Amino acid sequence: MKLQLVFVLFFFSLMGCTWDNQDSTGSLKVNFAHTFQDATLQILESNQLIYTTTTGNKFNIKNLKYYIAKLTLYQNNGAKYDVNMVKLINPMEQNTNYQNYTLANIPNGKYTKMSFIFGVDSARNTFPFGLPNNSENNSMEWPFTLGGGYHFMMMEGVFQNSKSDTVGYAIHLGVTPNQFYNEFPLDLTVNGNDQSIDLQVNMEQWFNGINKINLNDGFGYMMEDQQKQLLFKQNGVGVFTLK
Amino acid sequence: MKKFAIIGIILLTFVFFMQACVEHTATPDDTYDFQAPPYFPQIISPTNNPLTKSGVSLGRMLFYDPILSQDSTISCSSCHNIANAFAEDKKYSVGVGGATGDVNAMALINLAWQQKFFWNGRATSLEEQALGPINNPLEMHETSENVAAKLSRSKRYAPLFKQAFGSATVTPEMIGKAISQFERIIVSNQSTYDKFYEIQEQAFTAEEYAGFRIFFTERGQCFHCHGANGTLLAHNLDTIFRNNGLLTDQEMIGKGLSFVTKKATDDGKFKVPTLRNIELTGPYMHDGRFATLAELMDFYSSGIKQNANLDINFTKSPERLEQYGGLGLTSTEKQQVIAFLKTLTDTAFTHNPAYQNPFKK
Repeated sequence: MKLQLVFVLFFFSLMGCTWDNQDSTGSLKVNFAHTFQDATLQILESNQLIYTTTTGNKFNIKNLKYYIAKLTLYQNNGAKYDVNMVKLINPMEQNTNYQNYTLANIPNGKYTKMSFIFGVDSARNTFPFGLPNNSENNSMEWPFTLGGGYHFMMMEGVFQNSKSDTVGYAIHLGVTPNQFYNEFPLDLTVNGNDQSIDLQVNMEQWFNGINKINLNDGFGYMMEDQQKQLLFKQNGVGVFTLK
Repeated sequence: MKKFAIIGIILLTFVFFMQACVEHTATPDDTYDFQAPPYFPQIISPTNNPLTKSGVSLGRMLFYDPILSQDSTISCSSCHNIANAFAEDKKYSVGVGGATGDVNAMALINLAWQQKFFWNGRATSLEEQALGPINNPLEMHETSENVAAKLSRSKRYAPLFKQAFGSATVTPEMIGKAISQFERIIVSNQSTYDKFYEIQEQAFTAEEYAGFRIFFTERGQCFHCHGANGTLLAHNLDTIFRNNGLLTDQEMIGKGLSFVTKKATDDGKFKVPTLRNIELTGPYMHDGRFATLAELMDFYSSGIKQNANLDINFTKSPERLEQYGGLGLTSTEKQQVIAFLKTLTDTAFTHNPAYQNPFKK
């Protein structure tokens, strides 16, 4: 009889821990939904040119990876929930974990704002190995000779140039001044539950934002060209919207 | 008393159940102490093949023993010579009966950090890769089952397999595990380039540093495929198959990664090899077409063949490609890049006693 009592108490103690967590915190899964002109983004392996910029470039996207950092939730009373995260978003991966980030253990409450940094925050955008030394981060390294740290974004593909040849472009953003801050009003009540929201990533905005990008203007070698990176940083401010 | 007996039976059942689930595991003093510098990433080691002293030692013996081949003439080391950083100084390797392969033997360096093997990536684990040459009619021309039977009958090997894997009845899986354990501990980390992490540019001569700058800027843009800081050290890159313009559209059909994926968009894409010890690993490329580093640099400078899958890093500068047929490096720049590449030579690696032929006295 005593033995049975021990088992019962042990079982309830385990369940008790779980219930406590569910009562006091919740989670929020942020899905990065990539679109181009309101349709789901297509990342191609072929050289088919399926998109057009407002400047008339027919192009495609074959490679896309970028970091976001310091996703933070705010309450009206000034309290904030910041887990000091960095996440590589990689829409090419079959594993959808590369297209979302879950904020776990969010204290219950009403949250009215969300923010994040596009890129890697300056504290971790360092040489060598500001981020964990693994293959996914190493594949994003920004060379020491060009300032070190990480690519904030790699977007590559092909386009039809002014000679009607299909040639490559490589939009590479890095170096701390090219981070940018994003914030959105939020209506989120956490009450021990698991929720999700969609963050729309409007890829067209990178090309057709306040700067109208013409890929014929030389976007193959921009890692050493701050002016070209700045054009994308400025366009990037309108890329993310909360649905 | 009865309760204690019940608890005892439950515990014993649990222990036996757990043992049945777990394969042969290393005793604590058999665990292999794998050493890599702190600036290297964690190794990718399968949980069902942990490194053990007995496994590594056995794998080293198998690596150097021609018993793996049909007529006992070819060992792994026949085509992966330590003096060449475990590559071969021939364009194509010669197998059993004088058969000639059609790809250049890849250098075996820092494999513990790699995830796909062979030029076309057809092996997804080191264990799988290790059995490939045994079963290849152009190489050892054997079957891994025959080799397992030979090793099971061997007075030398049967007890060593028993010690390493818990059974003297050898299986192909055990052979793959043993060889891959040895391959996994082959680490190069004492080149001049490694010193860069401590003393930065002071590690280099002026010429080497000039080459370093070409390599790691968009002048040479080598880093786009060969990786920047950590990747060049340990070669753990997740995007490792590239079309570098060696072949025309017609020549590349079915070659490279497309052999595995069957996608035309992967035609002519080959595994980007480590550049460590490149000074020792020629001839170069999947087909060993370039005998020297000078030929290699000439190719990247002016010999790129345009094809439908040519890497974006070449096509993104159509003007350069049209004018020079490549990067358009000057002869001085080529020399500087070669000087930098030679800083990746690691003679401590090629002289490491732990990697030498155990049968040589």
